[in-house]
Amino acid sequence: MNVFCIILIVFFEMLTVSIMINKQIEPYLLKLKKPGRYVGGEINSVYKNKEDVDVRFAFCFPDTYEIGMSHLGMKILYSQFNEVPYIWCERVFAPWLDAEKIMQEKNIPLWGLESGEPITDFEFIGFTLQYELSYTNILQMLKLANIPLRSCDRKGLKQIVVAGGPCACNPEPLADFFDLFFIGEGEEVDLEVIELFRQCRAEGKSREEFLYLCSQIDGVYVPSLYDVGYNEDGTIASFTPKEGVPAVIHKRIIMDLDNVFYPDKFVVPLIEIVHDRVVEEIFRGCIRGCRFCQAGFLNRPVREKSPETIDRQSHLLCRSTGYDEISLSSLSSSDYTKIRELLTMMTEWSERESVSLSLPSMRVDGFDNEILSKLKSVRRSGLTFAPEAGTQRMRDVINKNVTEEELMNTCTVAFKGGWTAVKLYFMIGLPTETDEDVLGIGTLAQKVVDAYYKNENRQKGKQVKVTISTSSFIPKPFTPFQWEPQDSLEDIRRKQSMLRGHITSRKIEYNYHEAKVSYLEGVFARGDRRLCRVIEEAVNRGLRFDGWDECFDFDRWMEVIRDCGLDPDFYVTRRRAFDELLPWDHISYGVTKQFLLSECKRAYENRTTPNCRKKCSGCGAVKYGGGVCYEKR
Amino acid sequence: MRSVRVWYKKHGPCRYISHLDVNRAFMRAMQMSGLPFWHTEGFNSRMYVSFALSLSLGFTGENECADMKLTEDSADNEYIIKRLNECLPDGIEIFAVTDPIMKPAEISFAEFEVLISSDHSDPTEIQSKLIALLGREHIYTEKRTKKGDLKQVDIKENVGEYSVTAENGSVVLRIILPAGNNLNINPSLITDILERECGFEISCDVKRGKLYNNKLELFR
Repeated sequence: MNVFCIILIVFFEMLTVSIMINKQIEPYLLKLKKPGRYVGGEINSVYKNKEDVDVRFAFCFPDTYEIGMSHLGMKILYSQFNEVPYIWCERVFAPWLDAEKIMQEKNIPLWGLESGEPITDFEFIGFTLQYELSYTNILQMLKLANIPLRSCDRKGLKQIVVAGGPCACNPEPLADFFDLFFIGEGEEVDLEVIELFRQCRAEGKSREEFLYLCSQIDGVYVPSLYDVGYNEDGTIASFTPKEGVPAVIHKRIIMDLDNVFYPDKFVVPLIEIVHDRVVEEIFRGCIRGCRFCQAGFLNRPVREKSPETIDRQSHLLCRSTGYDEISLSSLSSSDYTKIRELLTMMTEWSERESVSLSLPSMRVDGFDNEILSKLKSVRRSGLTFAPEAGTQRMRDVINKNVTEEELMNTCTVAFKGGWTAVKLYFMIGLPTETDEDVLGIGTLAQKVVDAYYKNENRQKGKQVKVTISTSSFIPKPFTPFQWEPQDSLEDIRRKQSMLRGHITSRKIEYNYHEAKVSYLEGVFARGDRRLCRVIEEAVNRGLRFDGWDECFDFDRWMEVIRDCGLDPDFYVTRRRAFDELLPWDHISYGVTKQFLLSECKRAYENRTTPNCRKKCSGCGAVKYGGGVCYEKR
Repeated sequence: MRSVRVWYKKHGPCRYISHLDVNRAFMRAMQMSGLPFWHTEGFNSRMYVSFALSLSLGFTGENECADMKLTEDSADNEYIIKRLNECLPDGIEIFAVTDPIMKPAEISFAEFEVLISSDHSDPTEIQSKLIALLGREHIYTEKRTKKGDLKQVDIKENVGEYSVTAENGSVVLRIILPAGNNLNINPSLITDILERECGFEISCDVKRGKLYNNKLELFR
């Protein structure tokens, strides 16, 4: 085949402004681990003339470059903002400890990777909230940028600190620091707010007037416009909006994924990052309704992209980045209704161009030979499944509608296909869990090992390896388990060692998630505004990068929480009454509280709920007027 | 099938990335370019690219090269230069494509230019210390071998031509040092000793220039 025949539709923007490495940090770069994190200059990064733009937006990811650059949401919004001529969006990441030290010693303010300039006086500072343990990094980044931490201390129409992302569903532990939160999907609402800002500035409006007008936009939550009252026991007594401010903030949602903005270019990092490949979103939401899964409830209803759009977008991305790997991303890839059609369409060019496809988040029951062969055609990666619980009863409680038989069939197919290693993910500490349920995890893993040896075509001399990982269940807002107590450290540890003792085969490897990390995550997941003080104090005492072993300091954290007069168990191990006013009750993701409550009660009765394609269970998401709710059943 | 040697400069932001990262940047550029590059055979087929000599992170390179293979003879060198440059990040810049004449394994020496400066001292002091250092009969230092053990080497034995001058507030060392498969003397071995003997922090800006074979003929 003559490769010259392929006409590449790749446009390279002329660089009107040359790449600027921050001059203050440059002399120290060679003293740092991975200096490539701090220089910018990647293919497809966007450079503008600062004189030509009205609004400078610092898109901050509160973790290292390698983690942040792997995040799809940032890629989407970065491209979308920069499509607008009057906005220049730059990327900012949390500097690692070595760089942070030099920045503090030499007084170098945090800068944007594109311009190399301090973000201090940017109009917008935006953060994405991906996980609770990055909260301290947010404050640390604001500090490094010389931006006042609390919204009440920032003045004028600049330094508008905003956030979005999954953790914005319970923004209360961060309420004092942010001017506003975006609730739901950001593609439309972000630009509406930036446009409003421009208008307000042109009309000479004050910061307060701007924020009030923001609160009138659907999907925008301005925390300073609400007052919280507490009961003596620490629970919330009242949540009062100021005059003219909506009592409930409704999420924003994009119903037509074929026509919403999706980038045709990704910034291609110079250094290796965690997910170094093209990521193509194939649908949003999940039909399954697993009761522990926050993403499943926040993103209802399921909306699919058409195979044609996916095919076109991912092909363009491969051409503009040079990546030879595509990850088809969603919460449960095998639930994509046209998966076979899509894979057939894509393999037509992907094989020719040596591009490999991967489908993360496969369900145990969605795995068959045909899909397997298409994925295997170029490169083979490991197989990972998430049965989530060890016994059928427990899987019914969490509504993970997967049977042991399905798991065994899937593993047998995989073993016949030549795989010899399987990873299985589980949770411990689930509501109603008994010791028998925990031990069931080990028993299930053993059955998978046995299934391997039942396969007569297995390669001689090759051993099977089953890796099981358990994380500790953290009840999350907007799930049917939002009222449940989280297991204490002692409970989790006892269960972990009990399970370890139950595993006798050397073909099974057991990994588990550190219980203390989950405990701290639990504090913030369902926390309230009183935790703002705690986070600020923690940062003042030098805590940040809590998601990293190097920095995680549990005892120090407990000290800070107690010094602030709070009891961590109030947030973590306490059972909430069904009629308690929860810190996130003023936010709506379309799923009604009655539905969550009825799902919780069904869980207690070990009763499952059918998925959205089988039968509508009336969660409330039908009000968005599209997606799976209107598919023919 | 046609083998080509691609010559490039490494500077700007790409100065701060490792040899492996450069390798990845080239692989992506080759994939993106749509040029008919030859794929390796075997289980994990990939586009073939082989670098003559790795360059330390932080050094700039004036005359770096990599070998590639094209499945068609038709591709014109000028077009290859243009197309790959469009696909490479800022800071990796191809300036020539030639037919490989020597084998990369023949590379034995490289030319370096090291700019040395310090906030703690004026250039004349550093200059005289460096001249004295390089004038010694032996310059012993420890160097890690491929196996990971420390081995004592005499740098002086391997130092080729050099000059030390002062220009624009910096000391400039131009030196030819062993480079390649058999023996590598990194100029930082010399500047590390210099820094130790000075007793204050110095900053070094290292640029690698031309490559030579064991007869000090230009590597082509």
